[in-house]
Amino acid sequence: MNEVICPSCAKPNLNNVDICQYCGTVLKRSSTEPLAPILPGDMPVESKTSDLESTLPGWLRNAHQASQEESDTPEISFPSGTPVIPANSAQPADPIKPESPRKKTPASPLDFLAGLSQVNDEDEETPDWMQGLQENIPAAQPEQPAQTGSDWGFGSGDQLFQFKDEPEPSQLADEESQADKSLGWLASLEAQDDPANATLVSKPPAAALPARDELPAMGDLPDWLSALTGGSSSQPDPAPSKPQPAGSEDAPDWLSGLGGDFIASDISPLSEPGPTPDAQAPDWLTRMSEPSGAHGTDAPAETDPGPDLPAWLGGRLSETAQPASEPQSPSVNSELFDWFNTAQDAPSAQAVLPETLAASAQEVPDWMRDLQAPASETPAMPVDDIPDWMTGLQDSVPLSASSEMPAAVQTPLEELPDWMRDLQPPSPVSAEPVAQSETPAVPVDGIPDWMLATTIAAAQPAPPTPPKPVSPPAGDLSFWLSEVTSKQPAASESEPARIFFDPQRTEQESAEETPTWLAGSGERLSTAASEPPQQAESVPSAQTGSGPLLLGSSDEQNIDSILAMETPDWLAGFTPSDAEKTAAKADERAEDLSLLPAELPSWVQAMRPMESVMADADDGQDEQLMENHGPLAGLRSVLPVQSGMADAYNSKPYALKLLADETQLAQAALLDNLLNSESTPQIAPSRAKLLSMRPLRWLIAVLLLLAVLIPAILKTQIFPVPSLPADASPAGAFISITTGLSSSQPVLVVVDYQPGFAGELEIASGPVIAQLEEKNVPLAFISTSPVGPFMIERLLKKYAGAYQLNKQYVNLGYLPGGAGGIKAFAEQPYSTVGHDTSLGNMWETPALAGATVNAATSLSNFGAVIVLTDNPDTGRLWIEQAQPSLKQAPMLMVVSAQAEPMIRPYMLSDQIKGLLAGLEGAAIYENQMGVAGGHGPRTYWDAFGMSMLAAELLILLGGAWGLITGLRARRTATEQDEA
Amino acid sequence: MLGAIQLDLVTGFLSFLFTLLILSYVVGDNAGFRLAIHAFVGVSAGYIVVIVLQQVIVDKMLLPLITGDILARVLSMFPLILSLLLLGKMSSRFEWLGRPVVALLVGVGTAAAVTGAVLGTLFPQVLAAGQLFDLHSSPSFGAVAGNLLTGIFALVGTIVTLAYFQFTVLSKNEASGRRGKMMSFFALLGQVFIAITLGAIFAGVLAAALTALVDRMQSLVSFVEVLLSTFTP
Repeated sequence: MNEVICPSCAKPNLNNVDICQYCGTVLKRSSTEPLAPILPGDMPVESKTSDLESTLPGWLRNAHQASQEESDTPEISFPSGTPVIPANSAQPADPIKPESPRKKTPASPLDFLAGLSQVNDEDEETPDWMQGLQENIPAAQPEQPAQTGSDWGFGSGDQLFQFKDEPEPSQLADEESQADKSLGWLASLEAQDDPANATLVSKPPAAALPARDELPAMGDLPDWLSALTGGSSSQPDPAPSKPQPAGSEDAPDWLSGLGGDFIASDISPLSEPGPTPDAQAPDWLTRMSEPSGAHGTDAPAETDPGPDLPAWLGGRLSETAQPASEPQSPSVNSELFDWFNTAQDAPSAQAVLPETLAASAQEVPDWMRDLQAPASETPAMPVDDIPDWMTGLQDSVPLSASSEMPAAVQTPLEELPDWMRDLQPPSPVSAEPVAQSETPAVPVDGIPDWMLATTIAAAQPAPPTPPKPVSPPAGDLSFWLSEVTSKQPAASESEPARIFFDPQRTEQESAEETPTWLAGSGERLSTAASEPPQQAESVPSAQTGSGPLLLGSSDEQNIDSILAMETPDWLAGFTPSDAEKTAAKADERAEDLSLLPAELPSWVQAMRPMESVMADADDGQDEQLMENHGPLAGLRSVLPVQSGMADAYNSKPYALKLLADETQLAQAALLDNLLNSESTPQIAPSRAKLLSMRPLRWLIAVLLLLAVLIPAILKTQIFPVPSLPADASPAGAFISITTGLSSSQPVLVVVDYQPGFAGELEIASGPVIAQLEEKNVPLAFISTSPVGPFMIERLLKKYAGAYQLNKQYVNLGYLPGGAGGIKAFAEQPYSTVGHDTSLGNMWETPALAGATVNAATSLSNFGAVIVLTDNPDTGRLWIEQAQPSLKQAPMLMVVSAQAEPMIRPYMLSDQIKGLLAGLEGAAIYENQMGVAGGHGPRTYWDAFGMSMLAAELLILLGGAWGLITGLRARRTATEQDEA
Repeated sequence: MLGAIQLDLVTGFLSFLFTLLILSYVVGDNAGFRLAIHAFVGVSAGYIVVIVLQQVIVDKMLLPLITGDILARVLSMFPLILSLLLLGKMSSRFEWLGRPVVALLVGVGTAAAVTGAVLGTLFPQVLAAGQLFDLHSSPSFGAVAGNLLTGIFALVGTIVTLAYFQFTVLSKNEASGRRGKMMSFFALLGQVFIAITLGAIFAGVLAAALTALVDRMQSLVSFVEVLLSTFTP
């Protein structure tokens, strides 16, 4: 089934989706899931590593996957009865259980973490790299005595690993005490880890670094180191056949060299070894340190391995350089363990004394078995296989003790690390012993940068770290070294910062916990404390390998140098074949750099619910948002991640481009231009121009007033009256019709003009009314304007003052209703108007007697209908509504001059029979009929003519001014364009 | 006689005064101009109310209702009822009562206007325009030619004027949004006709205004003459 049920919404999702499509919950976490933070005082919680596998960093999971892929390879079965490495020297050795076939030893030093994913408790108890140590032990190797392996830290380390699976709080203290106890031999390193002490360290780091690297080398010594041993053992070694001192008899050559090294260690007040109890330190180690003081005076030049060379390694070099048959210090060789002697004589002893081998196999620790196997089989290791740091030690460090380097163990410079290469002398290593009388200070120039950085970092006091049940990891350091690192702050807190070495403390701890050989190295370091600080600053301290100091001070250092410090060389070069794989997994190791200084090893983190140890713990915390408000405050990852929801609900993108062709776009552009032109603000004329118009207006007004007043006052008759029009003309037709009116038929006069136009229409209609008065034509007045009745009275008073109401004329009054009223009046005049409360029925008056024919009142009974109006619409209404009802009765119109253009077409259509327009028509009518008297159009004609002339001149002047202004503006614009 | 003269003098003085107040607008809006306007509007409104109340409500509705016969009373009831319903427009609560009345008024008025426009203007004008092209309308060739030219001129004027108001662009010129050459020429010619028409209207307006001005000036002169003749021996 390819569906994944969402844990939040319980809806099925496709298997290939990472985020729920419905609720946005993250279904798959490709990144490392963070663990709950471990706070100080929190007790570890037991959990299966398989469950915690998802919390591992990516590089660790990859390593695990790689190890799983290699699981198909043949596995090495561990022989039954193989003794287990004792956890503590005080504890009896527990026989190792017959194990089932185990996995192949991881090819990479990081592969020891691959077994974290397995549920097997045994795998959790013992890291793979530890298993590899056991697996590498040849089956023929005798079981190592429990007591011998306890001082090498592997047992303690194993114990510490078991401690991981025993998270009971009550046991933590015991375990910690045991760990401290088992790591007591590292007490001297604590002093070195002390930043205050580190500033005073004057001894070269080679004296301390190999001491730290020595421990894993014991468990699984690299080939180069194995070659050192094997080479000496593979060579015809007459040592077993020769009676040797105790030391030379029981210890291997290289270990014997250690003893010699310690013998050749510097004489210092602080180098005096304290009492070392045999119960906690192997005897051979104890003896290794004991004769150092004795031999220091005897042969300091021969035994001093140099300040840059660890004591054990210096001794080892001395051992390998010297002929195997060379007698060793009896005090050292005589006190070596038997198992060590067995290991030393393994190549030859296995062939000669198999029974002895079987017996010694029970005493040889696992790491020694692992060490002996390649030593016996591998030929002499060339100098190329020697680690760089070892090569550098051989050459550059002036060995105080004369050492004889065999040709087989010479390492070429190409494989040496840079910092070791610098330490190596330019001359090739010869097999002859090199005598060094004194140990010169290593120049600063010859120290790698990383060592300087660590030196500087070590010079700074480390911040005190609260004690924890489990010490935080120190990068890739193994746990036992991390334990040492964890104890570092305690030492710095309990002691003054400037005290480099406390003799009391050294004596006590070294006597209780520190192996003798390591105590010797510590002593030499302590001796170095008495040297000037310049030397101490010039050489890296022994603490450069400590994780916190290293990472805390050199985050930007070269990765390789950091890895060289974080990962012991013995572990990095665990097997010769691992060299290439180690280089291939350099990227994974580089990820270790991201670990914070005070963090546990990642494999430890995997077994514990800690998120702080994860490389991407911060990312996990970022993903798991903590609620800050509401009832869920303080909880983490309660609600689904918003980003996932946002991704899930992203809307589909739609194209916003309109599918419009060119025509539509052109039309849209045209519409846009129109709209823009509408919205474009019009430039308002400036106020100055408006002000300039007022005088002009005053000037025009004055001119017109003068043009009117002068003829009116002077009563001039300058302008001639218009001549008689033709009969076909509107005025001529009007005159003809009015001339033919009789007094028997009333004439209906419609007075529909406003008082404002009374001056024009009164003067225009005055001659007509006067003529009708002269002809005694009865008049009936009506108006569609409410002010019409008043205008009727005013007109009659001015031009027909002799007429009497209801005798010669009737005022039908106001005709309401507009077009409808006109229509009603035209069809039924009697019932519409003519009924007044005061005047009674006007249709029965003498003025309207002729309007009723055969008891029927109709407009057609009127002699004519004369419409006086200033509004063309009003005239049109009378034409449209009343004209059809007139039948044969003519309709005449006296209109204002402004209404003439609209009314004239009705004259051409013969809907109206005559038309008089304005003063001109009145003047024509007056001139023709000779009526109107002193109020006739002639009195107005000059004034009208003068004012019209003035107006025309002003119009011409204005037009000319406008033309000139326009031409100037155009010319100016043209000139500007040309410019 | 003296009273009539005095009345003419008073009315003549008021006419003179209000004429000057109206003409004072030449120098700008002022209180005298507004006073004259307000007086004119007030007098006109009062006069209109009196006229409407007397000649419409009383004479055309109440009088037939009171003094008329049964038919006249019944017929007078319709305008009375409709008028009362129309008064409902004064209140928003009874506004709906006046809607039928308003609908009736608008409907009747629109019907009359449309009918009058079609039958009184459109058809007669079309017939009149067509008669200009009637070669047999008159036996005189000159009259026929004159009518024909008039008709052609009117036709061209009508066409080009309508062409000027044709803003729709044909498909060929849609992209540019401009008229074609032919339509542009017609539109330009239409502009000429429109300009002539507007000029004629403006001339009529100017003539009417100057006539009114002349009348007012003449009234002032006459008032002064009467005043001088009255108070001078």
